[in-house]
Amino acid sequence: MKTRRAKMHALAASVVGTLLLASCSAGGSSEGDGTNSAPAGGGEPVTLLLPSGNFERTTLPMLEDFTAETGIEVEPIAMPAEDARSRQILDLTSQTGELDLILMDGMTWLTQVYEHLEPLDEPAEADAEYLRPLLDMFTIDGERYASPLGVSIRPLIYRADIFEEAGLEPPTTFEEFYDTAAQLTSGDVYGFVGPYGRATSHVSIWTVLAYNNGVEILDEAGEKAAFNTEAGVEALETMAALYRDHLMPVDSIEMAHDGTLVAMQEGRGAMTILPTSFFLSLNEEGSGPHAGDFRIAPLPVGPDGDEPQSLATGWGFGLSKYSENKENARKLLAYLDERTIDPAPDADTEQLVRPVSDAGFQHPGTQEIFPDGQIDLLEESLSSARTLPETPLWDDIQNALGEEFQRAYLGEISAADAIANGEKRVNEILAGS
Amino acid sequence: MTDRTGAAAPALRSARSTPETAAKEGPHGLGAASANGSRRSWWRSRNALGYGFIAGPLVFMVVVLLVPIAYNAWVSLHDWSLVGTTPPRFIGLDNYLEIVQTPRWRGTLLRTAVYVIVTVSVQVVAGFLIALLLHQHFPRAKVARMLLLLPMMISEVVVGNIWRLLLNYNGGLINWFLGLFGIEPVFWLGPEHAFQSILMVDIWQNVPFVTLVLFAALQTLPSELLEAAAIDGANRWHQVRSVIVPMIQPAFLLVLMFQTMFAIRSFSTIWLLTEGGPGDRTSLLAIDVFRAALQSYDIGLGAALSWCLLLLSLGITVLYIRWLKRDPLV
Amino acid sequence: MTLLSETVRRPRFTVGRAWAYVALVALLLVAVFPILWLVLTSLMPSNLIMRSTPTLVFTPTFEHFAAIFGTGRGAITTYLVNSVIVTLVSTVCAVALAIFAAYGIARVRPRGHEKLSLLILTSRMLPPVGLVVPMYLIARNTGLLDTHLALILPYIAINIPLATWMLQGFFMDLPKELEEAAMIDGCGRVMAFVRVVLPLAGPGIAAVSVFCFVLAWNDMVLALPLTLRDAVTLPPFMSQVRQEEGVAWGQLGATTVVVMAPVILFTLAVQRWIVSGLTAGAAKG
Repeated sequence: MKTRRAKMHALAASVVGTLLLASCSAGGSSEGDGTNSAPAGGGEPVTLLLPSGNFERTTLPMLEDFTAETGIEVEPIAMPAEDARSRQILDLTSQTGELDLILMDGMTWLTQVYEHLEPLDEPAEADAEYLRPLLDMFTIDGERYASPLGVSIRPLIYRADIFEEAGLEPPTTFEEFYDTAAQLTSGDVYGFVGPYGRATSHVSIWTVLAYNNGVEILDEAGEKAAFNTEAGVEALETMAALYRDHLMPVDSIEMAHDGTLVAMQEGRGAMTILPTSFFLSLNEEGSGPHAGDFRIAPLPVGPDGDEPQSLATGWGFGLSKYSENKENARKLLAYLDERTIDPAPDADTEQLVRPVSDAGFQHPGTQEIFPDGQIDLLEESLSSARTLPETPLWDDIQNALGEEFQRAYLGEISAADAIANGEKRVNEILAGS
Repeated sequence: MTDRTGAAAPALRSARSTPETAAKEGPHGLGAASANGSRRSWWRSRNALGYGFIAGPLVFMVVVLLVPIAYNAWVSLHDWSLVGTTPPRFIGLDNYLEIVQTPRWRGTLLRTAVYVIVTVSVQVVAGFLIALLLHQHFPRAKVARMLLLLPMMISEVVVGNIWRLLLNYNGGLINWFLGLFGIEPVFWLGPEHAFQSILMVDIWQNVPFVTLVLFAALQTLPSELLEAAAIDGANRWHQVRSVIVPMIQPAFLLVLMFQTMFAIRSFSTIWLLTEGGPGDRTSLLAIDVFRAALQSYDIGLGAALSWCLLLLSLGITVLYIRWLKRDPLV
Repeated sequence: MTLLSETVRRPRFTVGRAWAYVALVALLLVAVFPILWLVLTSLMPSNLIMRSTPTLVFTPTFEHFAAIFGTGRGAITTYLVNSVIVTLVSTVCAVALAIFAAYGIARVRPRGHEKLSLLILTSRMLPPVGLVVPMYLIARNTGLLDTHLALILPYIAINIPLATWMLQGFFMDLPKELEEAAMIDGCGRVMAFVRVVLPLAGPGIAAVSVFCFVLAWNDMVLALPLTLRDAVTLPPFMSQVRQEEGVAWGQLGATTVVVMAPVILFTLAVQRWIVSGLTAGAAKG
């Protein structure tokens, strides 16, 4: 009996103790591992989110260097891109001000948050250094909100060895695209492998093919769909035919970028359309039996288009209006600009694969990644890059189109119907706002 | 009932009790005797004590859970987007009307209904059979019980990710395994099988919970009942149906209600496996709520969808309770 | 009275029992193999993981574990500590509160208890996604954002309904005579509760605490928006495996192994507590 009471006391004490412990650590900073030996630059740390993955890995060392040089602390928090996005929206709409720099993935994110950002009044030099079109990714109404720190396009990526064997050149028109894929499909190798699984992937592909066929997605005012034309249908039909006619592996319909990457690494496909940031994983040593055989080419153009265009997407940081640390945050942005425009001699290949400036293109590391004239191709593509449509409703639109398009790929409805349905849904979405 | 009292009694005999405690609590505890004769002020009555016990947790829950729920209801009556600077606009029940009128949402409701019915039925039946198996043959196998619980212990996010890897068409373990028997690889997450695949994964993760609850319930059954039934000549299945099942009906009710609730709210696993695709084949209610709230940032619509979900759960629960004709507390 | 579970059966190797063994082994395999595969993945070199032919034989590598333990600020230990604090505190409080509520409802049956129970249950029916925005706003306005309490309080509130429901059943099964006997012996109602009811409800309490623990431990929907850097628990950390270029499978495997371990330990610890409660009661009978 006494022991029971003692046990009760012990239990109560431990509960109270835990609660006390919890409230002590609440709000307190976590263990200071890896503290720096930087000069005390003072002030609050600059807080920002980083998208888990390549960009995080190349940016972290830059942040550390920044702290070492200026003594200003930086607090990077890593999370998957989609989560970062929601988190930021919560922070910004409730004006919490916990985040100083706001991560953005090109035009789509920008349109949703730009009202909460301070426009950047950068000196003209930085602007001159970046490739013009890339700045457009982060410009609305003439105001620039971020710098393009890590930009990818989605070129055609193909197996040079397979093409050589078959005596073919990478396709330049929609028709050639289909024919080449048909010719190269045999046995276990498919003409084309594409990420048809997630709307963000395949709708983006359709978007740039539409651009290449003279189609605009939305009208001038951004209030109605403008893609329900023969040219728009053709762009979709090209994609759908590849899947319907079995020129693509059947599981492409559920592939995201990583599945497509693995398929290409294993040699299941002759062509693919992936962001340039994946190019490294295809060509580097040890990434598979075909490492080194991959090359990039411009996307095919439709009958109603003329020059091939490309779609630029990428990361940048904007400045939150509610930040209480704007001084330091601006300094960090300027520093990141410097490091990006002029990559260090020993810069990581993961950074170099996404060049955004002349210096970036001339960097020996970049030239190694894109040998044999591909670098010029890349530069040309980036110089004529376009962005996704400038509307905060793009995710909704993308999801709706994604659903309809997948039905077309599966052959349930025709491409024309898919586009028509898509147009209806998009107009509803745009009208409803 | 002797052994339980027997165990308790020796311990109690050595319990100290003061005259005061006996006077204060004693008469009350003996139930009927007290309630009649004496004048009891309200705060000493049965209700007060009961409410007293419940007050703490209740207040807590009201503040922390019901406030957000009410807030959600409020939000659902507005056209409210987290994005952009247009202020929220009161539109009454328009969001709900939209849900009922758009074919796409109706399809979602239908899919969700089918999903919930199938998964809960399979879970309960399978869980019961496994619980019986454990109970009859391996009542003390702690290790086995622990292993069977593992699927429940890992988070939905991990479950989604790992099954996506396993169900991968080209090199997932499942297809490889089928290949060993000469079976062609199945495109699990493709248009024909995606729905069945998400069902399969959900069942895999949830059967342990059902098993545990039913097993615990079986453990409390007295064995004389079954012995008596056996003597009467009833065969195994009859025993099960007419003796065991009714006796653990409260456990069944609990399991049905909770599993239905969980099934209706199913989200993370499905999202990671298919993101609602291909097309809209695996777009269930919770997926659409997520899309509305955290992708379109139209939290008015998201809140309305959440409430539909809540009302659906509530409706089904009330149906269960009526069907089993029980006071939910038994 | 003997419980069905206490009947000593001498295991006879009948066909029936053999089939039972087969069934059990099959079930265990089904339940466990995905997790085994994950553990295996945590030891696989990255380039072997998502291949066409899964390799079962390979030289194990600890690179994934090293990656999650070794990056200073980003090391898993911080998140582990946060998770432990948040989960333990919320579980203890939730179970304690649930015990009170369940006992109150079961024994005392205040008027209107059915509606009350339904209310308690309804609070659980809203999808967690619906809670995100209001919770975030409340946390922000009370200054609790990114603190342990920001998670502890919702977890307690979310766990109470399930815990209460399960414990009600247990308390109602325990016959009133026991407590009355105790009170005849001179115990107060409270003492009777502590000395008689609690130990016998041991299995129920143990089971309930496992569920509460697992729920709080694995929750991601609330942990993600309500924490940022100071009170981040394990699930948001785990979600970092979803990288730009795809899922980092090796890291997922390693992280899952680390995340599963405490849950398993907790369950084991709690299980032992049940057994003693049961056998003490049985032995005397």
